[in-house]
Amino acid sequence: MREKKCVVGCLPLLALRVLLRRPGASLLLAAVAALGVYAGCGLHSLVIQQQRSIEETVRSTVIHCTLTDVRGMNADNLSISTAYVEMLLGRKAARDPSLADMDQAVANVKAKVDWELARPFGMTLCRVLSFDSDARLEGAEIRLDAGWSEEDFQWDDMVCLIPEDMDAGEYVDVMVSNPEAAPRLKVIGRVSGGPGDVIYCPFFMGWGDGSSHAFSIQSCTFDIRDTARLEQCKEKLFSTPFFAEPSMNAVPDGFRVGVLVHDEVYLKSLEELRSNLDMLGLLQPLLLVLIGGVSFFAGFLVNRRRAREFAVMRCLGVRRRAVFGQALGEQLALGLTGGLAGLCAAQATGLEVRSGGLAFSGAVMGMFLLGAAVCAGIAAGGSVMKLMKTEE
Amino acid sequence: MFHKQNARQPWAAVLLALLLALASAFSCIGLSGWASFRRQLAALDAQYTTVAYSGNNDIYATIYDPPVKEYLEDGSILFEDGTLRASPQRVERLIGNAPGVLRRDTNVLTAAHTPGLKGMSSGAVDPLAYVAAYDQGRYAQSVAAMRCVDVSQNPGFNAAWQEYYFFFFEWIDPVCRMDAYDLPEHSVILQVVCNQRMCVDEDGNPCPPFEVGKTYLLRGNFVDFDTHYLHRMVEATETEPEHLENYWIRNTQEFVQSILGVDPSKNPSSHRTDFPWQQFDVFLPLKDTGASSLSTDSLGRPYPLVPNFYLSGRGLSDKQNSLGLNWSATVPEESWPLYAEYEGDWRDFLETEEGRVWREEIIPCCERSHDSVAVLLTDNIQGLSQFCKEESALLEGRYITQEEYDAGAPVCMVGADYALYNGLKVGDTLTLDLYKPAYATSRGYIRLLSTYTYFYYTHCMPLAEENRLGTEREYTIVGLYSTPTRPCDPDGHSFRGDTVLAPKGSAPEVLAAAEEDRVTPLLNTLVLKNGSIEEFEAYMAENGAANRFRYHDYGYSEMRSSVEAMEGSALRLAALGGAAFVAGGAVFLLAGFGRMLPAARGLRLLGAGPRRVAGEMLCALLPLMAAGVLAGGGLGGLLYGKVCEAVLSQSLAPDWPGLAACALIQLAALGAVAAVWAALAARRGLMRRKPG
Repeated sequence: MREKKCVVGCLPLLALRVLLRRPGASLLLAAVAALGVYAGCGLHSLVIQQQRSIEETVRSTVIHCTLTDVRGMNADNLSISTAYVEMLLGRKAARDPSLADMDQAVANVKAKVDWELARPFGMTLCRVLSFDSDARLEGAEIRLDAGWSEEDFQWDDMVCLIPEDMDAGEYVDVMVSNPEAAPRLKVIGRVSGGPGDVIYCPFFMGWGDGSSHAFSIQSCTFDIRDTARLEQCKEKLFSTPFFAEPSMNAVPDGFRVGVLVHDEVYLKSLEELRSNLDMLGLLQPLLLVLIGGVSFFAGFLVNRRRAREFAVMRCLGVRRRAVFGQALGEQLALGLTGGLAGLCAAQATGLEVRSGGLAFSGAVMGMFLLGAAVCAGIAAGGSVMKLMKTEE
Repeated sequence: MFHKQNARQPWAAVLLALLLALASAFSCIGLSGWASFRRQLAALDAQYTTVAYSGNNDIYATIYDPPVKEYLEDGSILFEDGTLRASPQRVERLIGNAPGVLRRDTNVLTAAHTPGLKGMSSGAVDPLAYVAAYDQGRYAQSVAAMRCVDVSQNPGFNAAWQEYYFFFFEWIDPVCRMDAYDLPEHSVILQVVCNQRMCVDEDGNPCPPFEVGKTYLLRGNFVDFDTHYLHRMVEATETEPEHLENYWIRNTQEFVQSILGVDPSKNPSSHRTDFPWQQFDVFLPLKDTGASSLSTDSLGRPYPLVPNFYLSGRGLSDKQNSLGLNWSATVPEESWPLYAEYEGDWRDFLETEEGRVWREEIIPCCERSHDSVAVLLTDNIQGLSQFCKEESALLEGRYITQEEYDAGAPVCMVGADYALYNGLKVGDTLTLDLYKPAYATSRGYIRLLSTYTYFYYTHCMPLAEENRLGTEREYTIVGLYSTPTRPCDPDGHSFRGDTVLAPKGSAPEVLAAAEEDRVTPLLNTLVLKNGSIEEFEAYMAENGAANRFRYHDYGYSEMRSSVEAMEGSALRLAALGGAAFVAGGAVFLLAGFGRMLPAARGLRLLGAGPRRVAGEMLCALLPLMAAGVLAGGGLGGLLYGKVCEAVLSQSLAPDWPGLAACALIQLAALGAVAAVWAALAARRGLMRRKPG
């Protein structure tokens, strides 16, 4: 009995000796465990990374829209009321409840109108909503006085931007012939490198005499406010009676305008990216099963070679449970060491090791230990005589 | 011996093979994933076209430039501050060496007669959308019966115009003109523009070709009144508040009369003033005594010499050149007449022998030109600047696919307005009677109040019978695109909805007939590798050609992070697959040889040579390896394929030949390692290990 206790007490030492005696197999098992964990973290991390990059892509992609007639044509020849621009800017909610929160669906509305000026002679007054509304300002340098910003051009202040070399003081007197009006505009900035004969003013600028601000425009473009909510934004637009999806079969009624949403390339690309993500997602369980299988067989096959060893232990009086514990303990030690190494490698190489990654790794380790346990169970549960015969 | 061992312990052999199969399946799935990702990346890449098209930069020195130090041989300018402005020739050379350039898309423009369909001139749908430059060449081709009412030399505008004659004619009838021009308010008198070199005789003396009071049949381009827009106040109605309205008008003489109170069409002397005129342009390019064109278009390219649509130039000696015209121009003998004097009714004249050529050749040519379309042969519709700038977009149907471009499939896209005008829809066929490419670029303008937006427009020449290629091709319409009413792209080729976009390979005879040296730069697009704009522009800037190109990438830059993530994922998947196979293979070999080593030692002790033992070990392992690897490859492919088929897009289907190759490579690699292992194991010292 004393002898038996001695043997049992030496089991951890025995295990260590066994591990040291079988460095190749031990390292291999540890490597399999490490690889399994690393692969698990890697796959999980690929999914996370792909998700993030898709989110980034969606966030940074700008979807442009163009107002057309209901048939999708005449984008540059609309002659529509500025009321449509106001609708897009979300300022016509009182007119129709469906227009409420329109500014949550669209952004960066671009529209401009050129008016010939009778004074200063030869100049054009260009009403702009933003500086990129007029292609002539592309590449031009715009210097605004302190306290003014581009956003002010969406309102009705009587201010203007003038060409760099235009001789003017604090104010510019402009005059249009139809309607006859001669407002005085405050100069709030200058444009260099742009057109030399254009004065820019806010799109909805009034004449200062209380006259109507309404006028017609030839073209208008805008962007979708939030690309991630593209469908909702489109739905919002098309739920109003004023905007419609262009169709060749539509009959122009002078009321609805078409909105051409340039999202074709974006949607196709997103479809590809999402299918890629789906594939990664589907590969995860598949690969889990395969890694688990590899681990199981690796554990099983390596332990199987030690059947005779286990038989000798049984002959020396070690109980089945102890043999099972011994075998499983060794595998556990190897697996945990390998798994830990895999986790460290994953962390070191920047892979995602939190939550999902850990769970995935845990599953891989579980499969690994299952293989080892089955083997140990077989080794511990079999007939000693039969086990002794195995190798000979 | 070892086979027997396998046979006695089949479950162990099966387990070994299964281990290898799983490792192999894992690696095959990893590699399939990698291959699929690559294909997906290629598909994604193909959706984006990064193009560069040259802007209309003035290469000549301006007053804002620093002083010029040197004009280089290639036409580039070196300034004293060391900066260089590259000439077009230098830019061309730079493009050849620039990084990121995939190819140059040289699109080919030609014209085709469309039997049974109506041509759509710029004012056909809306007369107020008329722009002369769009109709030049084909739609504007007309024959008119007119009476000359005034020939005036030197109207006195300025010295530069002194030697021009101004011809004013009175309409009798537009004999052959597009219906779209038949507007009620056409003027009574119109201006005829002809080549000034036609107005001198062989000795260089002034000799106007037309005489006042005589009646003529003329052929040429009809140029209608231009259009521009104004604004007016619209009073409030029940539905709309008072508002200012921009509206387009035709700048007719009646309109001017309404402003100035003078009717130039009724006042015989008023036509000498600067009023808007409808014009009849009988200007034709000049060909020298050889075969080259003396006239150039707005881009400085030689004007095409279409049979019956050019004049012969004869050089004037110094003595004859008192007017400084250098050349006199005459209608070639073999050519159609440019005009014919007639008396009485023009219909009777057409029945005469002299009128036969007008009746049977000139008028049919005009009619053909009216019912025609421009055909732009391109292998990259989305690379056209008008599409890049989203001024044109797909409205119905689809774009032409890469497979259709590659195969030269007879498919096309037409403008939605043209389709609507002719009652066409997606799926209909379009018969194109193709002509040899002949086009010139003119500078057109769109008038907005008193400001003008200038642009270049490349227009096709009239459909001369001699240029007919004799091939009628049927194209299936796969998509309809939208176009601006007045396209005026300052950098690229502007086109209207009457332009049929078709794959280049669909009309090889047109490509064969195209003259490479006449290709206008507006039709060329430089296709760059996606994501290489910065690199390309930096290279051009380094070599003195900064900001010479406009770029467009359809938002690829926004998609770039995802693409890079995909590329990383693909590589990691492949690496994981490879590592899994290495690990699985190592376990397989370790376990496999572990089983065989005691028996191998026994064999050696019984006197078997190491080579034999190694051979037998290998022979016992190879079937297991083959079974494991091949089963693994099949299992991996099957699992992957099933998943893809059930859930994902077709682009992710497994690549079976690739998988087979992968499995064979794995088998070969494992076999090689096993052979080395077996050889080492068989040669192992017999006494190193204690028996028992």
